[in-house]
Amino acid sequence: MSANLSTGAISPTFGHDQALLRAAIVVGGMFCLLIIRVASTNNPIVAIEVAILLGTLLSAAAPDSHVGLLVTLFIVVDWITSVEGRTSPWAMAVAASLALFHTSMAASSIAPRARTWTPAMRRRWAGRLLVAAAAGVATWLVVVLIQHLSLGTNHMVVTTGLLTLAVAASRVGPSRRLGPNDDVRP
Amino acid sequence: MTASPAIGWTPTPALVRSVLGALVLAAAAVLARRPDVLVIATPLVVAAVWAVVTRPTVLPEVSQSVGHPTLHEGEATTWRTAVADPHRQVEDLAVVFEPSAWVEHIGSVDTRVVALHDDSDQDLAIAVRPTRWGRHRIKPALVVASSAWNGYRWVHRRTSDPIELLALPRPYLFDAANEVTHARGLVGNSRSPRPGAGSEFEGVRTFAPGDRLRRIHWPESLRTGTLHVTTSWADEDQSVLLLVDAFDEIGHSGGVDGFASSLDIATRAAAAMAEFHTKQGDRVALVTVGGLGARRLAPRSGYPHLRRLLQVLAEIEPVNAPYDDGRMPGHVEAGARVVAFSPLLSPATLRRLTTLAGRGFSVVAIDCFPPDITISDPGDPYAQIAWRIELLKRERHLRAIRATGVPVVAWNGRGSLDLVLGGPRRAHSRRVRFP
Repeated sequence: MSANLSTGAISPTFGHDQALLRAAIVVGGMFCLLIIRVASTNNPIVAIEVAILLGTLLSAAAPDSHVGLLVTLFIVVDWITSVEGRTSPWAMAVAASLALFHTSMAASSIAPRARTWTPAMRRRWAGRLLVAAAAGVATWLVVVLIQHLSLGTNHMVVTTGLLTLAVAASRVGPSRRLGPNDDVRP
Repeated sequence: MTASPAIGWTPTPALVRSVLGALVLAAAAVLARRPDVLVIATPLVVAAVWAVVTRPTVLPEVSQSVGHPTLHEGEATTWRTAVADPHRQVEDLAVVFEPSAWVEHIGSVDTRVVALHDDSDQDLAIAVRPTRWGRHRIKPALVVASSAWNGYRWVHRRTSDPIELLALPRPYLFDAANEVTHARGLVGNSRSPRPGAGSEFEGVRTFAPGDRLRRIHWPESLRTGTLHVTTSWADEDQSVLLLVDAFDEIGHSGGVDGFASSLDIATRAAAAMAEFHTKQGDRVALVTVGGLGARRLAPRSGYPHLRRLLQVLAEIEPVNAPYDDGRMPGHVEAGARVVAFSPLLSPATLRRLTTLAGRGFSVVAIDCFPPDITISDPGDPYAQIAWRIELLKRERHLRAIRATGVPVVAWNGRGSLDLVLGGPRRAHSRRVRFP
């Protein structure tokens, strides 16, 4: 069913909102590439950039797929290999572009592609995009503060960070997959 | 947060992307001591935490209904989907109407996408219409609910309990310039051939004992010097038997806006006749032969009976191998007129008509054979020969039934029966008698 919703098997044409979302996916991925190019201190790896480019286009074509995860990982690898500054303000721009990329992909797979969204839906998703982007700015400010206080080499901080991640991962829990008859209520 | 997702809610690729991406990026940031990567990971962390914290724990309740379960073909009604989500865990909702046979949505809108708690219920309504008479089973709409950040998705597709929509045939326009009475009753809207208590002026005659005083015609009485009274024709009803032949359906129906098959013509014409006679206050009986679930309705009058007539007509279902029980139509009152709607191909129908005519009933056959019908494969010589043979057999049937005195007329809408029904009534033309 999800494939039907995202690929438009039910509705053959794109609606206005869906076209904007697909364009936003491409813009988000391309902005990440562009910003990394601008902020790069080393020579970027062309193969990774090509993979990001193709992955972004594939993500726009099939937003309800896992291609977006690969694109996200490639973007980070490209960032790590190309940019050396630990407090580069360009990280905020990449974070905002990644927020646009992820939010557009999530939003474009909630409905058949020919349908028009209601104003309430547009407002809610735009607000969430702003929240995610603003969170990146806030994190950058915290990172700058930590760097200023020279806590980056503190092993306690690293250990606390890893423990926090482990606890967060354990809270997600296993996910259930739908069987063919699971849509019947218990 | 600790509750497990309810059965039916499934994680989406968006949740997988945000959770895995956030974990991998955050781990890379910590291990590589690159806090800038943590900045990049922050939007994914926000989305992942938000989606997981607000993950649904119960299933919403979905109910679907149509605004008007019974309506005429071609008329529109509203397909409504109501989703109850008291825990407010559903954010976006997509409702996809899947068209069934002979039921279509109006316009290009077959899907609704709404924010469940921010938009009104009206946004979940889809206008649909049946395109042909009959009892249609509509598949429930597909409902897809999404939680926050499209983290979890629930698909509701219940196909076990389709909703039924009864589309009554849309009657053709019909009117009769000639009165079509042969009944012997003394009530109704039609003029009896006999004088009696009624509303239609018949003449003026001298007063006789028993005449009502209000019937005195004072101008004539004063002029002649003796009392005169006005007389009237008796009002009467009539009884009509509608016989619908569902043994054969000639032509592929295109629905209310397309090509009319023989059964379409028969059903809509019978509906028109039923409506016309019901408005006249007549008693109308209905017999359907040949189709699935052949039905008989005893003669009655009134609008509730018209409703029943239309429902029985709407429930006619042609079958590939019709079974003829050989029963003659019941409920034929003395003096009733029998109007048969048939493509005149089935010998069983012709036998019934000739038998009724032989019993003295006034029988009229409405030829429902589609006038513009052609064979589906004109290049096939065998199909052409077979079609030609069928037409010759039909011609023979027409000659035979006409020889028994049963008039056969094609359905031409308003006034279709004027030619064949006008003759007998001319003998009872209105006269005004003066002494």
